Amino acid sequence: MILEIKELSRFFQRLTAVNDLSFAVEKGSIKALIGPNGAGKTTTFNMISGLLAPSRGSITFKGEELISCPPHVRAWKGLSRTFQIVRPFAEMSVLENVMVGCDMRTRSGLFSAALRLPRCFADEKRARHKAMEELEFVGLDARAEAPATSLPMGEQRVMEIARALASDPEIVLFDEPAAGLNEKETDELAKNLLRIKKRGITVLLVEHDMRLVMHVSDQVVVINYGSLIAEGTPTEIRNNSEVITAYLGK
Amino acid sequence: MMIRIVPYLLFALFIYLLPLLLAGSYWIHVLVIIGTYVIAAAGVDLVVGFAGQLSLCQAAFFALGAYASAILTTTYRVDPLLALIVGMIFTGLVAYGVGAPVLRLKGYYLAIATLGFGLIIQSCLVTLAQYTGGPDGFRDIVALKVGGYTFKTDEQYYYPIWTVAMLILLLTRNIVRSKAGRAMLALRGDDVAASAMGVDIARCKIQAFVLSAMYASLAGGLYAHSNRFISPQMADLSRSVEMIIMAVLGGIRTVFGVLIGTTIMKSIPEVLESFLDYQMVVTGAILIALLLYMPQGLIGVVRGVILRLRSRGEH
Repeated sequence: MILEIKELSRFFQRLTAVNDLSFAVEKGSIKALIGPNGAGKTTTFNMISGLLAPSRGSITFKGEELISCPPHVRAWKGLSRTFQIVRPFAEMSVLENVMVGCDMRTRSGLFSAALRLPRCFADEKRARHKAMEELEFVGLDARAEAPATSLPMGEQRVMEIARALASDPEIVLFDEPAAGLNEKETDELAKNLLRIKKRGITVLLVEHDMRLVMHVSDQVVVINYGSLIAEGTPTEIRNNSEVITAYLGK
Repeated sequence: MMIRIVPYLLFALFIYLLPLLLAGSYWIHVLVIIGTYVIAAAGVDLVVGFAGQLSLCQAAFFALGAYASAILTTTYRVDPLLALIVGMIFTGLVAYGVGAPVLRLKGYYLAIATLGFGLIIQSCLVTLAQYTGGPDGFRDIVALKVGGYTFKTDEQYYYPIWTVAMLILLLTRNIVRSKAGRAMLALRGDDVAASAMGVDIARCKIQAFVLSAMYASLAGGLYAHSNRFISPQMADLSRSVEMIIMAVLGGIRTVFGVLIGTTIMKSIPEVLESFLDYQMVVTGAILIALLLYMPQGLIGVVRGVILRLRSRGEH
């Protein structure tokens, strides 16, 4: 198990967003986290990536407790993500956006940058090369020099995938990657998710598009009102009466 | 690669030949002032333009550098070059101490906190009169001396100050075109995404803030020697705002933008000499016009016009 969530809870004043949630993600698999709107999926994601502190519980990654780590340290450890509402870096090209993802893997600092030392040159070259590779992987290399915010939303999502992959993560959290994509783009996304899995990268996915979830996932976790209501393979989930009730109402 | 250097080399040549054209003119004095402020404005460009942290105490850092140089060299007879370096380190440490807690704030709150820090520095400079000379300022600061050569006239100050200014611009350009610059822009663009992508945003903010404070301190120290008189007035909020306009007016996040903005802002008082009382009015009007009509600065306006002409040519 590469990622283990244990008894994770988050309260906002009286509201319980996530309640005693426990599940684990197997290394090299694709796991989907689904549930009706407001079920606590994004809250869970934000706690895993460190943007939000849990009220209770533990998150272990490769056997290491993450709770006290700030987001950037979790990224260094190999945990990357994309966002539900795209968050491109403005005033930067697509390539530069992806290079930010690469940068945490190079060690040269301010001093060697200011003096343009060979170390900095080598790091720049490596970051540029790696970023270009990831853009090719997702098929966005033709737009490398375009300003990131000038891309249509679908392409900005694709750019975020390249940016998340640029740091050679071990797990990537995808927060509703299909939101706002048309059918063709969603198919492309499914293909990319499976290709990412093939690279040995674990995927944790929050998604509303059931066709996509059922197509790519190895395991599915269903939550409602912040609590786990079912866990299993896509086929098991499809036939689970509790899940059907949660989605369709009684 | 080589062609890209040409404008910079031409500019350096222009700067070095300029005094020959202006020999004996009062404008040499103005250019010396512009040179010192270019250094401070480059720092503002880093912290405000790139890192997106609205600091309203850059003039206070400038004053700290100026007073450090003045007190160390004139009162304690320390070597001016050493005093400049000590001043920069001191100001950098102060910026670190202030920045560590204050840079957690965002937007208006950060602006107000840095504004408050600027006020503290200014009142310290007034109150600690036995060291600073109080509200009357610090007079008769000793001349800059490097290896036995004493700089006295504006013509003599022109070359070292502009050499330092151009070096600082070069270093800054190198920094912003590297990993550190990308981290700052990412922080400015979206701090949440930046931290999720492995940018240590607290460290990135501090880096930009301390670096800009050290630039301002260096500028202040050079100003103290070339002007020979400094006063607590130079730590004033209006001066911090003026420095931000210097960085933004020409074109934010560009080397030449800093040069153009600083030149305009420091030439206004000379051109409007006869109505000095209206100087703040003009500065304020420029600020408003800038925010309303050209958020990308003058270079942005020129770029826009070129783009429009080009697209018209294509039709």
